[in-house]
Amino acid sequence: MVLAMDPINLYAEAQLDAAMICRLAQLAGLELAPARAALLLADLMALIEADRRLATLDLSDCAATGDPWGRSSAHG
Amino acid sequence: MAFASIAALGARYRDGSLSPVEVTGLCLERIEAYDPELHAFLSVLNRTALDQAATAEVELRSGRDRGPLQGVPVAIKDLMAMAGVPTKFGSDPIFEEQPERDAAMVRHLRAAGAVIVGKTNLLEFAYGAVNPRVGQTNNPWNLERTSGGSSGGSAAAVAAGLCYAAVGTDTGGSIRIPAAYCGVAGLKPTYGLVDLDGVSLLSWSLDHAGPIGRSCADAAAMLAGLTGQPVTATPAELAGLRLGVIAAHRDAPAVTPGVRAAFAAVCGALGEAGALLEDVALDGLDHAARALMQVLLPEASVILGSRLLRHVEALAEQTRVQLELGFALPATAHVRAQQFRRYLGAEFLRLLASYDALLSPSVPFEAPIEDPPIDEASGLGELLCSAPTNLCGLPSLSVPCGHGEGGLPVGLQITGRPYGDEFVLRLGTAVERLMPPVPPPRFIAQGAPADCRQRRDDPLGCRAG
Repeated sequence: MVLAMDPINLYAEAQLDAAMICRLAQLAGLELAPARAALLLADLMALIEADRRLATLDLSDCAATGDPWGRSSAHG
Repeated sequence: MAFASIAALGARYRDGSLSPVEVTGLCLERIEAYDPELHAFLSVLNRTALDQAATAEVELRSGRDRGPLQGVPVAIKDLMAMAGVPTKFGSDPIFEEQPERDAAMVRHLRAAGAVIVGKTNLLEFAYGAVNPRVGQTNNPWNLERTSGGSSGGSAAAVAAGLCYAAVGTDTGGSIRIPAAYCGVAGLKPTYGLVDLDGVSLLSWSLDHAGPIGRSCADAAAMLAGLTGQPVTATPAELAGLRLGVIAAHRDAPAVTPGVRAAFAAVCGALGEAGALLEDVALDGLDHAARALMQVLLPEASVILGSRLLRHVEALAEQTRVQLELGFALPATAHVRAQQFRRYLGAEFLRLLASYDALLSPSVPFEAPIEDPPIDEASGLGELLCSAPTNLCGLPSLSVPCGHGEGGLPVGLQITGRPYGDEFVLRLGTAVERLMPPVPPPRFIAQGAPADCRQRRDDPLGCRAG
């Protein structure tokens, strides 16, 4: 299930552009010139699209613990 | 002798017919002769290597036997700390470091008595791009092609007989891809098996370090040296073995006809030897390469960003782009890809409950002219087969299985159960015995300096020349 407030959807709906990439990077601590941000646009859109596709899988039993196996769930 | 096995070398050391100092001298001379064209090494450690070899020689003579790597010339990828030797990271000198202590792997290799002849070239910080100030490692089979990455220097050095084994790291395929391109064996071990202390990291979730050798037995000897635990690669019994063929990898559009034919031939040989092969499918596999990027990009940016982006002018453009992308990717994308690691891992484990190992081509194509960028435009094809087992942490080996239509080596990827590294290597040895032996690379026969070419069967020929 993909929640309506999922940031991925918000980014997609907000029509990702260079200015938004600048703001995202700035929030993460990196000052990017708009020209640099424009260079990232296609790759970032592809990554966000890939994430949207991942969200179609039922990952609810999969713990994002950072290791490939271990405790948790049917998929753990 | 330059292409002898580690076991053969060890036997001759122990019967006194060959000495580590002689063999180390041979490797150093071969590096001097061949590396100007290959560009496999960033640092060559002539003096310390000969000192280590002399120590090994004295110890062996006095009966102190440290095991199979004692006195064996090896190389390490130049993102591992070695006290007193600069770490160059395949990048601009502005990033060079002067470590004061050894990485854990170097400590293990020293304890095993290995002779470290040099530090090998790599894609910049192992992150997929060649820094133009450094340049790529050329492929010993064809100098117009890349050795692959990011551990291309390690694979090329081993393939060209400049050392007997080497260490690489693998975050999305960086051991297996160059191993496949260069016609050598390369193992990405089980996640966490090899200690990464002292290694420049790219991704906590995906990084692995492992051995590269001209055979699975040599890779096993190196893995034993890296872990301090015994590992052998006696050939697995093939009769009755259940092997799953990952059909989506075999049939992917990116797989060239030559790779497909080589893969079919090795699968056929395994079947004739009594193994039971069946096509298998994994749910979600087509998401793997992109999910790997969702994990890798933000982790690499956190690990390296603040250090590298202060000197953007010194970085390869693609390295810079990837580091910047990691800052802009939403955290939820990283977390969801971490969830997917578990999802895909469960799929692999489900199959590995029924199959002894899973097979695919190591890379869909032969060595290209340059390393393709790991971006969407290139289709992520180079990572197609290797990325899934970085996500899942499973041991995964590339072993040569013939040549493609371009005459360059092709690799078979064998994936096993968690901590089944030894079995994967044993199965690799069984594959080696089914296939024609891999000859020295073409470069050695056709393109080498004349003195060395004429005397390549003479272990000291280069020295005399």
